Amino acid sequence: MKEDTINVVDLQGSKREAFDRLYRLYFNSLYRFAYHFIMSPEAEDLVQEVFIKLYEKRMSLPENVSLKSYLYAATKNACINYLRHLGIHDKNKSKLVEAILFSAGHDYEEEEEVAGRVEACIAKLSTQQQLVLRLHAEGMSYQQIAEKLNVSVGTINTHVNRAYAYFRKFFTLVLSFFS
Amino acid sequence: MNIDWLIIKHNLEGVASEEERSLYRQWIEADSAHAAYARQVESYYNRLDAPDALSEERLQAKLEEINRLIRQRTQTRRLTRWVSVAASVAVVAGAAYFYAHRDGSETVEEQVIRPGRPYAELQLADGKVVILRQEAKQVIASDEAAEITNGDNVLVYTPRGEAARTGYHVINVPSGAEYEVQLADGTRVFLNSSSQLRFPVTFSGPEREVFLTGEAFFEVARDTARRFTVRAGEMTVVALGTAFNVKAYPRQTTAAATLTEGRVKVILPDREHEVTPGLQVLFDKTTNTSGVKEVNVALYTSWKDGHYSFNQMPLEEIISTLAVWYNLNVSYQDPEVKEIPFSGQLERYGDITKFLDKFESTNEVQFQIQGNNVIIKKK
Repeated sequence: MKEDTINVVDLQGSKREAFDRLYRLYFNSLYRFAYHFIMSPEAEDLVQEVFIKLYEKRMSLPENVSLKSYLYAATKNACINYLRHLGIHDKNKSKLVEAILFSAGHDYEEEEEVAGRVEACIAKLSTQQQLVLRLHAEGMSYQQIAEKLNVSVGTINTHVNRAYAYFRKFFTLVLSFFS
Repeated sequence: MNIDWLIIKHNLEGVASEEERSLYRQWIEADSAHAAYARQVESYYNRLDAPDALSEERLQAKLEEINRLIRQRTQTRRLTRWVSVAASVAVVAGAAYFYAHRDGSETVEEQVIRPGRPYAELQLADGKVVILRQEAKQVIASDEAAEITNGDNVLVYTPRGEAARTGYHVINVPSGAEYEVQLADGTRVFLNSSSQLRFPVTFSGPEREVFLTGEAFFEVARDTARRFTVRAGEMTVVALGTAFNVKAYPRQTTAAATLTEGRVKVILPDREHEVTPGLQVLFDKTTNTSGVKEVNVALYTSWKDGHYSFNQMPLEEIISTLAVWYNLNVSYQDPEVKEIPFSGQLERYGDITKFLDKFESTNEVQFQIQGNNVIIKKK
């Protein structure tokens, strides 16, 4: 992921440009994260609301807050609230780990314990699978990844699907280990 | 009805135990929204290559939408600044405005009238009354039909299984207070001061129906199969999934329904209105007629977020709202001041004397406060 060059002070400036840049940098990553968290296209509205709230609150944010961390934490909370509304609880954070894995959301760096679980899963993948997931996390489409690695889109799909299928299988093991 | 995510997951993966299968079934049957969500997750699980990124065009459109929503929502907040800019024009027009340049305490009475606070009384089906306060975390009742809990300024109804209970509860929010209720279907209701809501413990049957006196903001849980109806005196508001404000105080001469999201039907003695976001239906009880107008929605819904905004509103109307929140008895020594229009925004839990001070600083009116009695005079 590109260096997080936008800080709270930029955002507090009078121009909307910093906000737009922040949006372009993170919307899709957050959307992917939320999508796999709540497993619903409503993730789009949820992340939209996160950005609106950030804008509204920008003047009261401490200057040293990392916007990336703020955005991920806010999205995570929105997802938890969404599920809670449906009476679903995520006691051992399995949903969070799943969301990070399936969204290839390597940006999420809030909790060490969760990060450890994610790392453990990813380390089990092949180098090629890891590379594809990383590029996908950086915002490249399967088409773009295929062009970059000079393979067909079908191959990329297979890689990703295998990785996800593997996650699913492995995930249950990791979970029973941690819970 | 609550469930742990792992139980859902195990059921979808076909590795659930007998107990987990039974819990999953109960959860699904508890609410049509649960069943809909379970279908959603199932289709997610069956589709490995999830569409989890927006296209460049979609991203751009979304950004424009976000910027538009930000503009819409900040409109009210900008009001205060806008007002001070417009002040000189306003004086010519004979209207009075707030000036921001005076701070520091002075004049007015020392007595601080207690501002709005989270407090309500809940009357159960058997007539028993329970006091609800923000701090007190409590389980009000729990049986096979529903669990009712209170805490953090919200009263929450969680239905269990299909054992529907037909009894009604009534939540009473006295003047100077406010409260939030989450109904059994997931609908959130923010009740304003001096308001009362009567609702079933669980919703059974083909329709969801509640009864309101006073003012409340509704965020209706989506359920296309069962419409949601608010009956408020002469006014009936029918909604599917949507958010709207209903203001129907018996002692006020008008009743209003203001829509922020979705679509509602408002039924009144004279006619019916189909309303889209940004519109308000206003019913005049003195003439028994109603009309629809375009409004700045934030002015009518900001109370639930802790502000009170008004734009070119007659003093009498502003004061009657404040009177409800602060439990004031208001009398006018000079009735002509009632019509003076003011614009501005107040913090809902602010000190009432500071509010009144701001009105006084326009040199148009003067307040005399004794206990909860306020006398308003010309300056």
